[in-house]
Amino acid sequence: MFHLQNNRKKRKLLVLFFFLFSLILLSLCDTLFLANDPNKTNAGYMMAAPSSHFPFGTDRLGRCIYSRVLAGAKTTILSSLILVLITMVLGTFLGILAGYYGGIWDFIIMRIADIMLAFPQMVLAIAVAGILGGSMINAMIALGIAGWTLYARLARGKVLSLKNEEFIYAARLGGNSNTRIMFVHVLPNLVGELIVNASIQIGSVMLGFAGLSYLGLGVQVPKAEWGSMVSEGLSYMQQAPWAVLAPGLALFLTVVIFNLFGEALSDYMGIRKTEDGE
Amino acid sequence: MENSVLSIFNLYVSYGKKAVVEDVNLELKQGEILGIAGESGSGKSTLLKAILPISSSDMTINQGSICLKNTEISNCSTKDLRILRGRKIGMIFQNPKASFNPIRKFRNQFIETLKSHGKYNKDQFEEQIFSVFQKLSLSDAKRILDSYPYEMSGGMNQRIAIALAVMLEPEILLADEPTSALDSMSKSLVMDELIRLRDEFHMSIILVTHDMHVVSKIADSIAIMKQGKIVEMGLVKDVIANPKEKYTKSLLQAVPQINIRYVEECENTENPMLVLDKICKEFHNHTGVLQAVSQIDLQLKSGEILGIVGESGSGKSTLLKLIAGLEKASLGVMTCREKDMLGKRKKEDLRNIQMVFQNAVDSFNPKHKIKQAISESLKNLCGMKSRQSREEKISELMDLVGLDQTLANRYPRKLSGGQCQRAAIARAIAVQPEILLCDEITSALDVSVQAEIIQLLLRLSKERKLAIIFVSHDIALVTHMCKRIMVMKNGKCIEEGLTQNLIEQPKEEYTKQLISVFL
Amino acid sequence: MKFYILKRLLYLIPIMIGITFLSFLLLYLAPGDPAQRKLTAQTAVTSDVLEQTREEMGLNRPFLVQYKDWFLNMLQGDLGVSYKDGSPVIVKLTKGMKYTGILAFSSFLLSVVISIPLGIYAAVKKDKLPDSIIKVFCFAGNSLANFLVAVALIYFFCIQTNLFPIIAKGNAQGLFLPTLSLSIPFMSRLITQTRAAVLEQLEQPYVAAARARGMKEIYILFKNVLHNSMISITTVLGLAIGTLLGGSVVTERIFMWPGIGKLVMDSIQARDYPVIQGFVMIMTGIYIIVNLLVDISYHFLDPRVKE
Repeated sequence: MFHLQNNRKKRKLLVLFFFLFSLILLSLCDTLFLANDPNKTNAGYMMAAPSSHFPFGTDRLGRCIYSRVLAGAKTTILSSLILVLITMVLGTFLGILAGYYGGIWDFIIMRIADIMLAFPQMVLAIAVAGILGGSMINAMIALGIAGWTLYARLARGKVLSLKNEEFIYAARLGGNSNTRIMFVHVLPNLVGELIVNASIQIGSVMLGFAGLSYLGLGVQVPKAEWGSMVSEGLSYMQQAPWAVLAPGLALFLTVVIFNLFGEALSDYMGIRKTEDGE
Repeated sequence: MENSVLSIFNLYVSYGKKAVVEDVNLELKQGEILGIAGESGSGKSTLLKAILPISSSDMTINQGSICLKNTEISNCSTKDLRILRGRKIGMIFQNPKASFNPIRKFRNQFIETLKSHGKYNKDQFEEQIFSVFQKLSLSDAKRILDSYPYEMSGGMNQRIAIALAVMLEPEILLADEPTSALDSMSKSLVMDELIRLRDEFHMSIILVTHDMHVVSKIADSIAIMKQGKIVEMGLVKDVIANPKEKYTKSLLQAVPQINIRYVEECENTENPMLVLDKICKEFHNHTGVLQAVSQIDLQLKSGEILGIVGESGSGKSTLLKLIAGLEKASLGVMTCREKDMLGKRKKEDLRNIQMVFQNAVDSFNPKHKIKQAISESLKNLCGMKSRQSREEKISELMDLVGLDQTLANRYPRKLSGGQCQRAAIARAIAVQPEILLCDEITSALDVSVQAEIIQLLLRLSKERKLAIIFVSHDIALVTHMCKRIMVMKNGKCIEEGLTQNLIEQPKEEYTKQLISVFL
Repeated sequence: MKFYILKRLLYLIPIMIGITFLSFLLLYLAPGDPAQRKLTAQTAVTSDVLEQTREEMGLNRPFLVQYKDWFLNMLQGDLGVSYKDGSPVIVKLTKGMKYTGILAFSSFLLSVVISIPLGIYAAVKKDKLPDSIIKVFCFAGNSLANFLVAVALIYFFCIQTNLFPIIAKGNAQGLFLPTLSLSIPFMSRLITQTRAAVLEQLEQPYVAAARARGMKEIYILFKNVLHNSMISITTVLGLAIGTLLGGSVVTERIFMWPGIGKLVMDSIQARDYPVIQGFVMIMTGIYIIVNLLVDISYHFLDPRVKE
């Protein structure tokens, strides 16, 4: 019975992974699928309704929305994945350091994490991006500056409990160096949980990026990004609802797929997600 | 039968398609304690769940009847069942800390329970409680009522749970392993309480346990369960004195017994190898300083086997970790062959003192094979660089601890507890230590496997002149192999001596109590 | 009790220092010369005037000295002056704060009133139809950016039906849409987490023990389970205030709600850094106070938290 249930979870996970993989592939090879140049303006086709030439219609400047949505996928999905990867690696490293060595390392790292978490995260991100100026790198800094704390706290907690596991004691008695214990005995045993949490996190990172871009703090025009496309289309939504609908829906569906995947993964691995607060 | 309270007839219970209880027939008489004994997985807990269904689970009663006086339980509606629970059938659980909401006062929980059964009367409430508490010799009822469950010990929680069960005046009380999570002092108090319920309140009790010792002490009749069936039933005195089934005999044998191993070899006159002088270990937590180990003196000669006995929280495991160098001592001196052992350990020191842990499977990295684990120690501590020589050594070790060589290629989860513990011993002795520390290494194992592990240790000690410190909560087990015994309580050594002297003439009250459980 | 609060407050000191330091650093690292920024809004700049302004603004002093002075001023409620019009930042912020406060508070209230009962209901009906429906809605809500919610609301209520004005004038009628758009993503989280907290408690062994005693389900649910799950629910509420404060910036911008979020967006466009800095300080201050209150509430909810 357990086996059957597990098979079902696995199938669900595989289906979602297929979707996810296609999305990532799509965003990597967006140029193959473009119908038009996403940044080319067409004075003759301003706010044109969807047609065979412009599958999702055009915006105020006559740019092809379909192509812009595709180009936006690259920006949103890739930068979210990269950011999650960076914060995870950095946070995990700091968390293990704090948990395993304790003492002054623990104190410094965790106090910095506390300070980062004392800011409301989106407020901090808006201020950082606002002061540094709008660009994708700055948006990543703005979101990542507090993002690593999740993984650091998680890794630290896990290390602290692993530290009292008998196999870590046994490894110490077996004459292993601290570094070897960290990388050979501790790390492989917490990597699963970290990946699950990272996969759950991707969706909200995407929302964060989109939010910043919506406010004009993400990518710079004319580069396509879903949040900024919605923001731009809002002013003429009455005339051309597709200019808002297409990027909005793309954002929603992408986040849904990533969130579903995260949930299925944690379900399959039997790991409960850790509440990160915000 | 005329004075029967509960009768179970031809009962079949299953989880999904898996049959858990098959063809059970039972009769519980007024004012009797019926013990149901069996190992885990024998279906005894499921039987209790069938008698008192608590929440909707995938358990189904396929056939048979459970009759409480004249009520057929399996026909009851959800609403009837709610009334039945507590008022007609009381229940107490294994984990005493779990029977109350930890962060609400006993008073509120008592009131809510009584109200649910329409038995709450504001004016008489305290009086009512005081009289029940008094009968169960629980003093200071008022203070108890205004305390939170988390403030009380496990034993106390269990006794209060019993008191609450009694206040509802049920016909029968179901007790699911009520003593197995308790220390020996609380255990005997709870056992006394159950006897009092029978004698003073004329209550009928079903006591489910794996502990034959408890059953034999307090039950009137006994049913032995194995794989969902009752294999033997009768009065306790008959069954114990004259068990018919082989399975019953094996359960009875499993009851630990004191069996002093006489040490024939001549007195060891060497100087002690390991010396601990007034070793202390403090832990700091938010409530203050905890003295986990205080002022322990200990001496160990080569080839000697020392037993350390104490209940959980007595500091015995911490002491072992101090000796192993896994914890740093707060105060005191520790030397091994006149070398200081408190500083950072060098390879040869690590090599000299090795340790085996309680949960064999958890003492191996789940991501590594057994042979990787052993090989790691050989490489680090014995400087065995070539893979070839390590593999040979591992095969040799596997033979030595009586394991098939192919098992070394498995992951720890794929071995049984006993096999894993042997592998752990192999890993520890691989580096040829002079001292082996054993922390409750048999307590997670079945009884037959326990004996084998002990034989293995005795053999290794003899062959290799290996000194062993064997820590256990079970004084009977320790007598099987140790020459000397040290008794610990609250971080202190309260008594120490040769096994025979300590068992036959214990000086301390606490030691006497530990021993009395087995007599 | 007093000791507990005092301890919490003491614990806040290093955090406060860290926060102010970072906020100050942010301004220090901002591109461009503050003196130049301040002057460009006014007159033609000669290098003499620039140097003089730098001296006046104290920009020539060492970093830590500047920080110390800024910190001491901030403790007295002085957050500096706006580059744009020279008016004190604190005055600008308080004006906006009133509107943001109204918006955040009404959203909070609406969310709590709806989410907590729904979360409990879903937990009790676990895996049944109502639970599944609530779960789907929450999942969708969790995957929605809050500007998308706002856009959808505008489309249906303003463009299609003309029920509400798009631009909220800061009055009661104008409050409706911003409140709703801020609450919907917030509610999904709150429902999900309330459900999880209640479920966790329902699985506790004391619930089984109470049922075995025949305790009525109302007592079990409302006196015991709810009491215990309030601990994690208040934690979630405290942390979620952060989301609300951050989200208000987006919502205010969409609906032109004259709150602090709109102010900060205008200031970002105008590169008026002291206002941005003041915004971070004030939002973080509120967030910290709320979470301090949450910590104190543990004292009443959980007797295990003593000292």
